[in-house]
Amino acid sequence: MSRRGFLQSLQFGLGATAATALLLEDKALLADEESGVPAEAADPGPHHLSRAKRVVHVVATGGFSQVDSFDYKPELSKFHGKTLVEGLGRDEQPDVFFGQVGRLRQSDFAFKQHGESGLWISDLFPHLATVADELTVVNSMFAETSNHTPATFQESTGFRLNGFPVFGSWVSYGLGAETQNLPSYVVFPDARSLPAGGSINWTNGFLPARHQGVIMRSQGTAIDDLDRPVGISDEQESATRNLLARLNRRLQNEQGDDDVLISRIKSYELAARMQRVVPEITDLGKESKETHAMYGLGDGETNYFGRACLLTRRLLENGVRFVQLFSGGAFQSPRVNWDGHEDNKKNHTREAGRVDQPLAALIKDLKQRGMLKDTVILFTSEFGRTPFTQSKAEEVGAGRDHNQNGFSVWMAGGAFKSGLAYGSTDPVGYAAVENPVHWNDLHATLLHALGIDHKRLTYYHNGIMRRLTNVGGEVVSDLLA
Amino acid sequence: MNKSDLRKIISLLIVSGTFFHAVVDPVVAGDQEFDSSVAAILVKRCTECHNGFDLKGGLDLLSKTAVEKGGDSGPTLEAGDLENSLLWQRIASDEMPPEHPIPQEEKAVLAKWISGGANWGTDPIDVFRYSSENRAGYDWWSLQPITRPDPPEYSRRISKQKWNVANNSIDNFILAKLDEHRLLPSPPAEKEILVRRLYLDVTGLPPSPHDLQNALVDDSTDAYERLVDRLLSSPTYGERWARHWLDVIRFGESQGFERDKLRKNSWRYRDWVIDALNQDMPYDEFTKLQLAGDEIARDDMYARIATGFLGAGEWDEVGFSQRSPVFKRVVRQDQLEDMTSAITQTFLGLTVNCARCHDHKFDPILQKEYYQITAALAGTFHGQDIFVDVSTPAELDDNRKKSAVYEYRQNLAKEIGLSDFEIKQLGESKERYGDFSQYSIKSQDPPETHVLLRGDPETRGELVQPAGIKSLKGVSAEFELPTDATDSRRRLALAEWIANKGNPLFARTMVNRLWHYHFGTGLVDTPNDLGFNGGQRSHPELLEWLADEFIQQEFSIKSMHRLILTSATYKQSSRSREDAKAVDAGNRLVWRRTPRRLESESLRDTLLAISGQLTSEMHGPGYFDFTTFNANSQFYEVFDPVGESFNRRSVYRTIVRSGRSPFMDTFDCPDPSTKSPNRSVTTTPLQALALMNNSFATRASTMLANRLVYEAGDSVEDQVVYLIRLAYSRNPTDEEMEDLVQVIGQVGLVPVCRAVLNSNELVLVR
Repeated sequence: MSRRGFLQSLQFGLGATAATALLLEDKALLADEESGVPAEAADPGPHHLSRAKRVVHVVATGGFSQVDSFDYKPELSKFHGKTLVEGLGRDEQPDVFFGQVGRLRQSDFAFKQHGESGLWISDLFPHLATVADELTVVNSMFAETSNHTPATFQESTGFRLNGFPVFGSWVSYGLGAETQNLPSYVVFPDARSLPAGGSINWTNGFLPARHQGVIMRSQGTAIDDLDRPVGISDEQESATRNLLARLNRRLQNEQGDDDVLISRIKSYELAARMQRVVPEITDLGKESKETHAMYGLGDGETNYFGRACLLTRRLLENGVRFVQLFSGGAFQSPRVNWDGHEDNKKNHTREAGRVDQPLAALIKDLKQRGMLKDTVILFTSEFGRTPFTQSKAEEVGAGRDHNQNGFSVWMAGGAFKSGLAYGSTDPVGYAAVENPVHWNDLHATLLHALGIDHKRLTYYHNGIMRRLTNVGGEVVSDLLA
Repeated sequence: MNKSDLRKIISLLIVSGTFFHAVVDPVVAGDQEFDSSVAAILVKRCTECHNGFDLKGGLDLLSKTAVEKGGDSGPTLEAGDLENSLLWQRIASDEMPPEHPIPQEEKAVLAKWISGGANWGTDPIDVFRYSSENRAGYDWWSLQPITRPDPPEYSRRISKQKWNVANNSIDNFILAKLDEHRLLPSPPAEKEILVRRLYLDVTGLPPSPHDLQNALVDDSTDAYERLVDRLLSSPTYGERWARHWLDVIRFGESQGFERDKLRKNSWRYRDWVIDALNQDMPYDEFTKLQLAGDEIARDDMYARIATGFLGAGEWDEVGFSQRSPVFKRVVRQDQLEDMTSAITQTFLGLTVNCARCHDHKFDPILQKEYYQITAALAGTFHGQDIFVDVSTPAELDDNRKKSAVYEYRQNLAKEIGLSDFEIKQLGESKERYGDFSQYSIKSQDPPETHVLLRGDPETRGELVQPAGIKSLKGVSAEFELPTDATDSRRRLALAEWIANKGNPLFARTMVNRLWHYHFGTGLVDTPNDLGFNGGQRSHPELLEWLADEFIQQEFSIKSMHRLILTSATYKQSSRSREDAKAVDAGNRLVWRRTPRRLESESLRDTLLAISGQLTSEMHGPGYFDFTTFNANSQFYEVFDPVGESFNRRSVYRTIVRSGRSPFMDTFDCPDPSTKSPNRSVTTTPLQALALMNNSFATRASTMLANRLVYEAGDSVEDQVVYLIRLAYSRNPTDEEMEDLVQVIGQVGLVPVCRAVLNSNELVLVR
């Protein structure tokens, strides 16, 4: 349906786009208490057969170095100590964030081929290396800016500016939730700090509020306001609820049946269910000791992220549509994310140490439960790092600056061709040269895996039908299984 | 062709540069039939790709000469010879347009044209000339001068109803349309319901039992009108309606982006909006001051405070301080887009920002015109505006006194042992008053503005001067500025073009917003877009009439409020009717009042008011509902602060972009980085959890219970009466009384208060 046709059809038809009341009023819903929340989009997914139903998005904040992780560059070792111009064989004046273009530095981590696929992974990620055959690496990403925040916005929303909905919100909007018992979009910030921009990183933008990411904690009260306030007894609680039901019923008798009345009543029933279900799901004590160990729970550096990953698996099992995990916090001193300007080796060793084992565990765990085939796992950063160091021109320094010209991301899940390294950068790992992939393209591909045509998932906002993929994006079919 | 024609054409080409749009006045007067049929088809189906700018296949179909020249595949057509015309071959075989073949009727028109000799009409074709299925042209309704249609007569069906029809033209229009759809209006709402509705709509606060009583016992014929007037004169009106304005103009009190530094001195603009609305400042003056207050009255502090509007959007600190000049230019263009979009969407309901990289795809706005508007802002940058020099001694003194009051309060707070956070907050407020400045704009010498091809600052096109948009009829788009006009002078010219009785969009956009806020949906349901992609008008003549009336009332916003609020349309009951729902479930025809949930701010204010906690403290630095610290970026940890300083109306909350309040957000408080002309209203289980379990809500239950005992006494019946009057603005029914008395007897007052605060009747306005 054309956009005008759609808008016209709303004139004297069944209520406005914003009436989420309709969601809860869906006849199918009333019939079956256990079913989820239907998608809110006017043209909801799935638009075609989908391979995936849910997403785990791991956001590595700060920009991780591709040449030290997934982009094997033997030439970079050869040119260690030389200039970028020499390494590229052409005149290139990089426009880096801090303006210091030093000499090329080889990777601080040894690369090996892994699994049957022979995927090249450095020993920065020894655990992920053991599941190499499940991974799909893209080595030819590029971004439009080397400035953290606009780059992060583009990574999440497709736009460089504030105010747009993030990937998770679009998925929640386009597919709905599989369950009423949990939010459709859950967020686990890093233990050390929120990412820069805070809630901007999981904002619903102009999409309705229910698509905003809901923060969960892996320790303590899982969701805000979940627990009954201290000091209220069972008797008081049930007296309140029963009285509430009566008050609402009396009003309904007087007013007649109105969506807005009915949906509110229903939302209290759902909230009560959530109060029961969430503590059960977030109780990690229900998992075995072996599972705890596999995910790295305990006293070590992997504890927090391990708990978050294990919780993620449980949330996915219980119908959460989108879980976002942050590897890394904001830009403070001392550094708590992947932004390795000063000493990249030390920085990345620390950051990878926190997430490598839990992520590998999550992949293995989902696989053995038969869930990997219809889950999308995504590991991204807003940009990569330079193969030359951030130092004086004649030096091989220890840090790397931002590099938006070429960087890597990886996916896992049945929708993708696993054990694949797609696209490539030039021999020293500076810029994407073969099959370059823009964020819009990656988003289009991910939505496609979820059964969504990125051009059909739209929302009217201030003059235009907005999409996650702005006005671009091509599905990269070579990535899809 | 003679020399004079040739000269005309050459000068035309020079003036229009490489862009395919010619001037509106054609070089050669046209053939009517060609213009309205053939040209319309070519524009609709072909010229998106085949124009002087895009030139797919090397083919431009917009001018006679271009068509004669043909494209990469050869000559376009053989006049008179259909079969051998390349254009026809492509179209007939459906090869062109790709994926969207031309329908038979249109093909027939083109065939007839080619066979008949392919005579050309207006040359070159102006793609904006006519609106089509794909885009709006110069004839688009919102670009035409405003008319004043006569209010239609009531039908006999309607006048037979015992409907309290007022002498109000709004009702004529509404009833006529209802009649068209064979619907009847709803009867007027009961008095108590109407009173509660009026209070909440106009002031955002429920009536106190005392106010309610006064309203109910007043039996005079003009009791309602006098209540309307009283509420419009209340300072609480400005506090409520300012919040609507702040939604639209993306008001945030932090920089956004990565650093999101706090803006401690943005609050004066917010107060200015509250005061301007309370004073019923004429809307044109309201507009001009926000765009160019610093030019209109350089030495008037309040005029300059108004320009806080321009600086209310985000500012990319890191972006502006990065080393690369190339990236910095992009960041500056992003900032110009923020200001341009805020200005044009707010005041004109036009998405001019969509013409940053190309001509607007849907409305007759040229890319050049986007840059003409940014040229008026070329010297406008975010900055601190220091008032010390321009404030009068009386103003300085007043400010000093207010600062001193906070110091006094802070000392008192320490003495009586208030929380550390509250003590700190009072100290903050003292300092923020003392800081006599505002985050708004700083003028610089305006540099040259060029059209940026494809929006890329590195590929500059023609030089442009500040000017408006030609397709708006009734007001000249020429600013006639001297080339050395200052930044503020340019903005004044922009303001005068916008805030003009002759500007077709200015009045229409605002009256539509007013309707939106009173009825929940605008006459155009996309208040920021009256262009092609905007919604269809539900009542075209009414919109015209209201816009004209607004101008006749010298842009007095309160006059329009009064007109709307005293209409019978407004007073209708909110009860559901199955017969009407079957025809118009969305209530676009306004056959009743749509029951609506309170917005975030009104809900919070209502909870505070009912529980006796709300302070009436107006103005001043906002309160923080967060702690904040800086670690390169500014971090905000939102929580529920306890203390009188935090029991102010929600409009006085300091709004930071990365520190969203889960409680407020769950009730659809918008992202302050978005322009939100139309808040969504969602219903979610998280809202239920918030109202049941959030500490703010439970505190309200407890305080409400205390209030009942304290003010109504120990009799449970009296407590129940008082509770229902406070919460629902009516008396309890016998059934309710029995029920509540019993529950109170079992579990006490607090659980009952908790239920009432969660109930539909409190949260919804009917």
